[in-house]
Amino acid sequence: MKNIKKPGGIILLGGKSKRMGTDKYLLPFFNLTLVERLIAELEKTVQEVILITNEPQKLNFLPHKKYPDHYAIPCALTGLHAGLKNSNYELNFVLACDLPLFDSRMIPYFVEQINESVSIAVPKTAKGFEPLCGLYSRNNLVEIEKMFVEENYAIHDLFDRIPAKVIMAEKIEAITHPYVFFNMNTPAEYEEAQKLYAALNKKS
Amino acid sequence: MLTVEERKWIEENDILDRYVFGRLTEEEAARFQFLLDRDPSFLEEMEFNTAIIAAIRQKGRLDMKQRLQEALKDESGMELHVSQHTSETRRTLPLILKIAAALIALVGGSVITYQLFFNKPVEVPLAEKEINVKSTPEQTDTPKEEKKQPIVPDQSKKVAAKKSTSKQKSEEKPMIAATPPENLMQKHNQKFRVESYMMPKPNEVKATLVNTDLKTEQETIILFKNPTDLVAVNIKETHSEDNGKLLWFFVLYDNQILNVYVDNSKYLALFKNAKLTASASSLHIETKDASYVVDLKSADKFRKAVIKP
Repeated sequence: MKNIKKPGGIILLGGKSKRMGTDKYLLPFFNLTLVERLIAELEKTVQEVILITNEPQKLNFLPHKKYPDHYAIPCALTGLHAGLKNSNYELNFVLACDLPLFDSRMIPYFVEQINESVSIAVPKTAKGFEPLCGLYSRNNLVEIEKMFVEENYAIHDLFDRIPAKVIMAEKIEAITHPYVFFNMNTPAEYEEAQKLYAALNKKS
Repeated sequence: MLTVEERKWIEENDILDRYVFGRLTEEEAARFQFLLDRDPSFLEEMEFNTAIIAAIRQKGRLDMKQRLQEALKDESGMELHVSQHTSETRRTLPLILKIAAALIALVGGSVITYQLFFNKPVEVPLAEKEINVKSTPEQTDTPKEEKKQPIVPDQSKKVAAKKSTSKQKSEEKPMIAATPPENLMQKHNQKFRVESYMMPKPNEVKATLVNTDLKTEQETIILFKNPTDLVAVNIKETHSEDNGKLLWFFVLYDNQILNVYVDNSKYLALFKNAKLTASASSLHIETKDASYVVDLKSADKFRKAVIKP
């Protein structure tokens, strides 16, 4: 493992984008596609960003390393597993592509939470955990693989098996901005995300 | 009347005691309920005994109060150790001795205990205390996967029908929830919120609290060495036939209840800015937006929080 303090970055590009009707990560987001914006944001803080996708041909325009899922089970745990398995870094910030207003300023705080007894740091909003916007140690791979053997694909169960530091959204929003966990799954939310992003940039 | 065999079964298996603390297996609970329904005199006797057991527990709680006071006086940290005293007493003494000991304690002038259980209604004193936590727009932090949630908000506040008179009576039993020390009930205006937490062990919560007035942070460790001190019951419905659990507890810091947590070992439901009322059989949580009743008695009723009248 190369660097224990500065994490790697993993973007999960799975999901069928049914409600959006098209791959959300390829949607234009101002001058970039959404995936490019997320990469650019992550790269402010992490060492290297890798992409987890089962359709790498759609991302040929990006120079980043792309890896498919290792298991053919369509769930978040599969993406997390593939990301950690292919990462070169001890710690990895894992991000889903449905958080268009993600702000990398949260990452150093997450890294601070990790120590010998804590290998996962995840945010929790009023709606529940945001497991795909969290920091994971590669050491958790063993436990994740056990879950696949047990056919348990619920990512939340990982936090029962490995003590996770749960960070309340309030704290992260204070570090970043109030819309950092805005979730985008529909065309209306896409429109809203662009408005919010414009407003945030104007404010900053 | 109970048969000799039935009494033997109750005594040998510590049924009465385990009933009080919600620790009967489904099979035992069903058999016990059958006996209660069949024999009104046994029901009366049982209620008397459970009051005594609760009194024994309360003594443990008074000890706990003392320790809490000491812990909170210590400025160096907030490590609250909840004692195993009551459960050890419960496990090591035969039921009859426990009853005798409790009677001696009661007759011997335990005025506080007497008042707690015979002169007061079912509510715990702290129940009326409102949590001073900086609230978020959404007051209840419940899990995403609604189908698996054990705690369901009651927006409509309808009445949950009670199925039998014995159940009605069981809800009138004395409470066994913890009460904070007197000095903790003093007026204090500082406000706190939980910034992060983790549960490294089933009975341990480590929380980082932020004093929203002073903008300071403090790591708080709450060790529940004996979860029954805060009412723990086994449930099967939540996620597993083997290890489903329901714990409820509140985070007590300085003189404030910060939050009420209900944990079924899969999810930790957090109730902010809530009022807490506890009885032997149920936990009533009222937030600004909804009311919850968590039944602590029967596994059958743990599927979700029942709508409150």
